[in-house]
Amino acid sequence: MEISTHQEPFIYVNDKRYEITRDCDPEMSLNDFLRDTLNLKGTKVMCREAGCGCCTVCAVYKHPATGEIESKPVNSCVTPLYSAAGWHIVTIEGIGGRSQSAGYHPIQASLADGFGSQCGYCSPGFVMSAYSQLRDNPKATKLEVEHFFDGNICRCTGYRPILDSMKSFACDAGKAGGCLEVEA
Amino acid sequence: MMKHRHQDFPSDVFITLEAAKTVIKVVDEQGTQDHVLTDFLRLDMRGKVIVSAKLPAISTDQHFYRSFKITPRQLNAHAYVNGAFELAVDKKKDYTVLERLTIVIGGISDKFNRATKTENFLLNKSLLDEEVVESALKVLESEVVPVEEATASSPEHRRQLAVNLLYKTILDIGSDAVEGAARSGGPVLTRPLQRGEQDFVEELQPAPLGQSVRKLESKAQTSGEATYVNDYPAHANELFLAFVRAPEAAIKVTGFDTEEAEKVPGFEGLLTLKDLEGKYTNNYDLPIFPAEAQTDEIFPSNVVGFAGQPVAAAMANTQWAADRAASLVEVLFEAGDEPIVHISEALAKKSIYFQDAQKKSTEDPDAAMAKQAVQVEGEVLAGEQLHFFMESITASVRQTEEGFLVHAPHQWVEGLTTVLAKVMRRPRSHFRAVCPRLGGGFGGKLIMVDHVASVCAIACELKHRPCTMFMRLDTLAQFEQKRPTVLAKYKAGATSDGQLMSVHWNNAVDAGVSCNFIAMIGPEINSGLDQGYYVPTFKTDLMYVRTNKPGATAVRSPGSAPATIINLLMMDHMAHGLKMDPIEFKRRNLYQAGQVDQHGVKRVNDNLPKMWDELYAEANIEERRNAIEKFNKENKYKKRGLDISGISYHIGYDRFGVSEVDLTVHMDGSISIVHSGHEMGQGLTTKVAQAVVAQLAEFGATLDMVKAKPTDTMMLPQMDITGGSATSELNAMAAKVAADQIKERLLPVKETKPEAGWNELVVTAIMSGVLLKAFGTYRSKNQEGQHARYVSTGVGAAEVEVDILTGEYVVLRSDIMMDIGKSLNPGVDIGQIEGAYVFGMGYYLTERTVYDSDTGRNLADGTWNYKPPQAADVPRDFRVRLMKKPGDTDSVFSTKAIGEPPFGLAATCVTAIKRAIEAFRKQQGKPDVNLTFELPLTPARVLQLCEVGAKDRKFDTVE
Repeated sequence: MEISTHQEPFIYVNDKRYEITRDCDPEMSLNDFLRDTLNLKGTKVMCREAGCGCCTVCAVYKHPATGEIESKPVNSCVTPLYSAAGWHIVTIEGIGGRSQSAGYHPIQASLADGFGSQCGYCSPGFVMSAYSQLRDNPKATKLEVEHFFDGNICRCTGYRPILDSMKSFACDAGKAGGCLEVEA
Repeated sequence: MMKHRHQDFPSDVFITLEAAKTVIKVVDEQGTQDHVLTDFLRLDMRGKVIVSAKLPAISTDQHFYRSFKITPRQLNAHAYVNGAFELAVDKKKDYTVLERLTIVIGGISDKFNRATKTENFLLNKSLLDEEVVESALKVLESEVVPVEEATASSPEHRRQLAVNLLYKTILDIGSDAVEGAARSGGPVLTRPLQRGEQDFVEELQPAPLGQSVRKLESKAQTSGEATYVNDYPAHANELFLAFVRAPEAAIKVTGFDTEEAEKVPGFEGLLTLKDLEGKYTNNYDLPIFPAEAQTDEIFPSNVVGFAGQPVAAAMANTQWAADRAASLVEVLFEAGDEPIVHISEALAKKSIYFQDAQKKSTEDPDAAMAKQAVQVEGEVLAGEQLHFFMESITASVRQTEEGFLVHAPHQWVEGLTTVLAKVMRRPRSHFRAVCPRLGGGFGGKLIMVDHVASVCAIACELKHRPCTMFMRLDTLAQFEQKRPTVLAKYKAGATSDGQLMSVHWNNAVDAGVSCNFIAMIGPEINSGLDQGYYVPTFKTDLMYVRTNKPGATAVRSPGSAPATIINLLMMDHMAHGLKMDPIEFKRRNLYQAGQVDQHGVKRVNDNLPKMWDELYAEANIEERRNAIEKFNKENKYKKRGLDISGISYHIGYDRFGVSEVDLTVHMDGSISIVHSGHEMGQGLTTKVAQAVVAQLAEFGATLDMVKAKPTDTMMLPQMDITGGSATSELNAMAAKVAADQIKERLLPVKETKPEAGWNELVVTAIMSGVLLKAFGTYRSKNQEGQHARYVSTGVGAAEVEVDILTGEYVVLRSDIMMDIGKSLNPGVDIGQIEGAYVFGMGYYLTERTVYDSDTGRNLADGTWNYKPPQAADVPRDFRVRLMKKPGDTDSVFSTKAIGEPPFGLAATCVTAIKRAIEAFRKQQGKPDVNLTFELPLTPARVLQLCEVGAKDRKFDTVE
């Protein structure tokens, strides 16, 4: 994994490398960078204080102490772009979509089929929370999956259909579901 | 470091590390030093960094470690009070404390972390000695002195929590030695895995209408492809705006100091009242309101109404810069009167707009009341609720030769253009408004968006640049028109055998700084006060009070949401007065077919008793009530409660405009629809598409051919507002009307080519000059009275468990049965039921605003202090049933509206919690009074109602 140095900060977004330019505002958030600079509007924004979860993206990085590659959901709204230097960011556009060769990602499809989206504004955040954590822990149990979403708010659905859709990827979900192989 | 900087912060990291006796290494130029955490808090950290933390191993099986965090919401919330305890005891010697224990408690004050006196007291004493424990808790009670803090719970509550947490720890550690029932005080609440069941039968009329099909746009939504207004790429040269907020209510703005704002790169100046003078109408109210009620100004020309009110707008080249600049503008002002922020304060000061005319039953309610053997009087205060839609308020305006083009998430773009025409003093034809979808509406994306769009339009014309505003959450929470506080006073009378005979209501609603939209909602609150129960005689009064808060508005189920809890608590009180089981009392008084309700609607085919009995049987209520009784006997400090309630929700077809659907079949067989139903997640687009395809399926049309386009004032003039839950069915009917026209035109073509499939048929028709575009409209012919109304009804049961020592609760199971007639799409409708219910749980249980009495500012202006439900808060077992074999209803498609009606069933969680508290109070021999409390019923309020005192903290069960 390529590590960013102080001289040339860069960031990967959906496997594409971007230089973080010298004149970049130090206060620019990862969310502003994704939405406004890269025009990746699938990642949403609302509270700007890491309290609602609609801006969640997956950050893949090498843990500074253990050296392990980890993937974690992060609130892009409160993540300064510079602090994400060297990270590999996966956004909702990076995992699947209508025009992509593999089509929609199973998490996206499952949430849609399970009536898990109503207004839809929180949906990318829920999908990326699940994606990040399943990528880190593909053998998550239903109980673990349920706890994935402590940082995501949905105002429409009452959560039950979201939890049902997501728990289909748990190891103990029975025949209907099963562990999800999330590509690293 | 967070705790270091804000020493009053209830840091979970700090208390857990401190109780674990953590030592940290701090490095500076001088070298390395070790510090325990309490010393670290006093350390000047400038020029220093923490390099490591060392946690000593808990070496023996004599050591115990417990930590607690008691929060207003299960997850993602900071604690009222948190506590961590570390101690070593000798189990063989009556649990004698061997070393000085550690008690760390957070959320008390910036000075208090360790309960040192209690720590010293307990050394070498036995935890099984009741006198020791009682004295220790007393010592703790005296040394814990919580400070007043506006957004925290009361000092008394936090002190009680602190004491209970120590008691809880002792119970838990000593659990082997403690008597049976008291043991239940030790563990925290467990939350089982969430599950759900959905029970329904599809009623096809014909397919795919009535089928449970996923929403057309659902994959676009879950993949981030769905476009919301603030997802449109910025135009070249776009200007962004942000409101400058009044720092206090009731002040007079004298000017602005922009010195700091001007340092923000990209700042382009302020838009103020001066820019409007002479050119624009300084009022964004809908022209449909009475002239004297159109009092809402874009920027206040005189006294500021409420703290957070927009007094100017900062303009900048990015939204970030506009937000930053707006926050740096200093508003200069002359102080004014003390703001009024509480409804009772307004009543005391006679700050009243007006009173609705009294409504009463034909039979004299006073005479009826006088005859009743049992009478009760009480009051209920239900607090405010924010919409908390995930997509904030936003609007984007640009000007072209033909006028202004507006993109906004809005529930009535037709209304928006009407307002803009008034503000901009131009003909209505100069405006076109488009709404692709809303990221949640809930009644909030009407008037507030009009305000924002007006400012954008003005700036757009003045600066000759496209203008956009996307509102920050803190600005929104202060600016936001909310569900109003309602104060209800009642007197209810029943016969001694439990027949409810008369209820008199005297209510007040907090209208805020203006009284227009709320004057339409108020009557809905009052006429919904009967809910599921028949009251032969009644009278209702309602007064609108003026406070220094934003004007009140519609929030999902605007009339029924407060009415349901008010009704339910009145029924509960009445049952208490009768010494009757509340469930039995309510069952007895349920509406029966043939009775006339408070709306004046005669209940035909009323299914409330049928649904009640079915739910009672199917949800095993009887068995579960017995199980709860057993559980409560065996658990002194954990109590369960169950309650059932029935609701009624009146739907009117008396609408502001016409439901319209524009339908086009293209040469390739694909189908475009534009509807007047502003899609906000309610699945309206999908129901419209289902209604279209239902008419054209015989020719081979299928749902996947349909694509919806944004709602647009150009295509759908004089369209109806989206709200009141009925918009889906009305637009589905307009869609049927449009599709029928296409069907009629295709039939002759089909006759000439009986074998032709859809695509061939369409091509043949278009090539032979048949226009495959149709415009369907629907408006109920009878706009007045009963014909235009029907009632969505439902019953719900909720079972909860309460931790008596902390006030926390978990909803273990909720069962719902709704009569929604013939569902147009059961999957979508069940989503509406579950969503409304959980929205209701937020209103009744956790969502709370807090106003600063000096400035009048809402301090719960972010996710930190305002707590909508999260996944962990929803019923652990959530079962939804649609009533089978519904009869025909006086509605289109014999369907019934569903978006708002189930909301009130969540109120049952409140009375279920009340049951649990009552069980504890009864066990402890506390006075048998009808418990009264303000809503929402937060864990803090629950703990106060339990009134756990020294007497109640005994190991043995009091019989």
